Amino acid sequence: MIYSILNYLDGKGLIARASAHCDIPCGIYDPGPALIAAVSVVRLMDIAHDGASEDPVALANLRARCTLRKEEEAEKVKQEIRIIWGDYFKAPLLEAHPNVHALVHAIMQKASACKQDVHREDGLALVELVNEFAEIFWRTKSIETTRKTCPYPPQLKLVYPVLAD
Amino acid sequence: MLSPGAFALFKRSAIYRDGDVLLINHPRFGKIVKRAIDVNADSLWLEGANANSLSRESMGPIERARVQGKLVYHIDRKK
Repeated sequence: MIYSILNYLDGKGLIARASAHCDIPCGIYDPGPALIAAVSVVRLMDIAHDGASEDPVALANLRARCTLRKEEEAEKVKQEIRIIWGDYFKAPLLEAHPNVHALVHAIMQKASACKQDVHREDGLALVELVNEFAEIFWRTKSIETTRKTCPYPPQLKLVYPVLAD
Repeated sequence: MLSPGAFALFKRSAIYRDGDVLLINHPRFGKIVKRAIDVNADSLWLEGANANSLSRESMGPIERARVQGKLVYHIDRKK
C-alpha cells in the first residue's frame, strides 16, 4: 500500500532519485581504444623515423608533430587502461586474474618508455601488453578473442573479440 | 542492501559514523547511496554493499559537505 502510494508520487516526479548499485556512470568498458592508441604510438614512431624531406624545417615540423601525437596516444593508453583496471575490475575479477595488477603496471611503464624515446621495440612491446590485457578483459565476459592483423599501418596483430549477433 | 526500485528516507545529521548508509551528492557520479567507511572530521570514504559496486578508490574521499543524509527507513518494491 505504502509502496504503491510512493510509486504514484514517484511517477509524478515528486521523489528524487539516487543510484545505489549500478556501475555508474555508464558501465561501458572496452579495451579497443587503448589498443588503437598503442598501435598509433608505433605508427607515429615509424613516420618519425621514415619521414623524408629536402626541407629541414618541414622534416623538423613532421617529427615535432609525430612526437606530440605520440605523447598524447601513449598517455591515452595509460588513461584507458587505468579506467578499466580501476573501475571495471572488482574483487572477484581480480581474484580470478591476479596478474592484472602486474600487467597494468607493465603497461604504465612501457607507455612511459614510448613517450620518452622512439624505440620501435618499446612500441611493439606496448601493443603486446595491451593485447594481453584485452584478452583478459574479454575472458572476464566469457567472450572469445582472436588475433588478426589490423587493416591499416603498421599492420600488427591485435586482439579482437569474437562477438555473436 | 537496498533492492532496485526501493524508496528510501534519508535524514540530515550532525554526526555520521562508519557503517551508515548515506545519500551523497558525488562530484562525478551524482546522487548515489553508499555505505560510509573511515569517517573523520572533514571527509569519509564510501563502499558499496554489492560486490560489483564501484571501488572505494574510484569514488575517492568525500567531503562531509557532500553528505545529504543517512538512511533511516526504506521500503522495498513489492515482490
